[in-house]
Amino acid sequence: MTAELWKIFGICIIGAAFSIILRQKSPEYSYAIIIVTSICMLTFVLKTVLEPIKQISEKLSNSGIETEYFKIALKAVGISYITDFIADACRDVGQATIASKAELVGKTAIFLLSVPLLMSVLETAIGFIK
Amino acid sequence: MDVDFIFKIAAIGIIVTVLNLVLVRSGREEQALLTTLAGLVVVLLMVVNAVAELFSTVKSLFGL
Amino acid sequence: MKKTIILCFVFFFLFSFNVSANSLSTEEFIKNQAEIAGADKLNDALPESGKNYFDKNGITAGESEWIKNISLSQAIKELWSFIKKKITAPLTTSALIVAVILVSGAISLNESSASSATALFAVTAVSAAVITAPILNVINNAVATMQSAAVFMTAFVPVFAVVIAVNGQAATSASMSGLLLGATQIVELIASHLVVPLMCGYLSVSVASGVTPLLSKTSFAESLKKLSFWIMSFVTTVFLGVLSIQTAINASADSITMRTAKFVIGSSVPMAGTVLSEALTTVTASLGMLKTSVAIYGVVACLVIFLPLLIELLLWRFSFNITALISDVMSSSLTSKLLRSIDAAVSVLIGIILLSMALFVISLSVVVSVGKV
Repeated sequence: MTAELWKIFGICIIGAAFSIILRQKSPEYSYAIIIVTSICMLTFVLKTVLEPIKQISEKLSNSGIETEYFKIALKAVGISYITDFIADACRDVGQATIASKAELVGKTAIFLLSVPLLMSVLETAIGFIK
Repeated sequence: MDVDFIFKIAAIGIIVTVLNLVLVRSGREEQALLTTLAGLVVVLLMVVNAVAELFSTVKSLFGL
Repeated sequence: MKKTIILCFVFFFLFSFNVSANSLSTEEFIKNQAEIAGADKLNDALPESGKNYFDKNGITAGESEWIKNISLSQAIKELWSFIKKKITAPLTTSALIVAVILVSGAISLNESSASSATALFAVTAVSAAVITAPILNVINNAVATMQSAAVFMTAFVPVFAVVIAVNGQAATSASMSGLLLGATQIVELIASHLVVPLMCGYLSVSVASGVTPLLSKTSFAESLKKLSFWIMSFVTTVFLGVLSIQTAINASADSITMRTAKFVIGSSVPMAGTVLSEALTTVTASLGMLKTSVAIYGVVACLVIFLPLLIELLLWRFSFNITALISDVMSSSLTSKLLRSIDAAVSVLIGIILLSMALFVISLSVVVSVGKV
């Protein structure tokens, strides 16, 4: 990670520089550069955490722990990740309305994902009372 | 995903902008518009590719 | 006249000496006592797990041979194997929660963005779902244990009373045992039917508030917790008050009364910690008075009934605290809040169980001390 840190920061500065150069005359290219630069960063980060997350889930499933819940948590995190990215991109382009709609979609997806979970938690909570 | 993408897009952007300026100065407004559009389409295709790659990475990582 | 009295005394002395000389060895004497009292059937009143343990080690109320066989190393070995068996569930739960926290922390979900906040709630819901199911199990277990302890008391106290009556304190033993039986039963009933449900309510409110952003944990949950503390300390005070009055009437106002008084003071301060420490001193003081094998049988049975549950709960608390620590470090405050509130409920449960245990042992020792006077 540290070895590639400089490369990544370099990409950041290059992307920022290009987007500033192009902002005056042709803003659409500037936006494209911003989006691609952030995709660069994201992909790098994701590829870095890919290995540890795989290891964690392998360890969990190897030791016979029920990984159903872990998978749901992972999915929720992934959805929030991609939603944040999309919403930020839309906001950068100046489309705050679309950005907020993207967030709404993301939230709904996470909600739907966690409905069975909430149900089981509430059932247990009711079970406590009985 | 690499830094190449950024350089390519920046290059296309700069070339198209310069072409655009030259063409507008020489009075060929239609061609200037066409160049801008063509450049934009190419850049958008690249962006779409990049986004697709990001999505597939996220999908495989989080099991969506 | 003087001579006659002296003669009488000598006769009396000889006679009584004769009787005790004629009576068989202590071993058989205890056996006889136990048979009269029906102590052999006591094992049947134990809950299933305790019964198995007793059968395996040949522990019965009727004999005293097994007391010599109890060794510290063996007890520790038993405990260790039990801990190893029971620690898997808390550890797997905490491993799962830590994994979830790590995943959400690895990609640094911040609460500032809207979808991240939702995802955080989903992650907390996952933790809640992972924890609540086994905890519900443990609580059910605790209630069952307390009820089986009450069943055992119902079987044990009359037997014990008969044993003491055979020792020659019929009147005191009868009155004491009736009182003790009733009082202990009532305490157990209140604990398992009033306090535990209250704690369950607290638990359910805190779990639900952990996962639902709409429902913030109100003072409702806190007052539930306070109410259960209050009931427990009130019941203990009343129980011990009745006990000390009875002891005073029976003119055995010795150190135990002091201890009970101290215990009353300690328990009116509603903290699980003080209850624990005071109970400990009382129990150790009381243990010195337990001399008959039946009483030791009672204490061992009490340990066998309560100790597994206690260890299990302590293991859960251990895992909760470690996981809460980790989630604090990963700045996942929702999860750590959830964990801490569940931990609080479990600690109250531990306090209740310690209290039942202490009541059991104190009751035994009071009966023994009355018998010795």
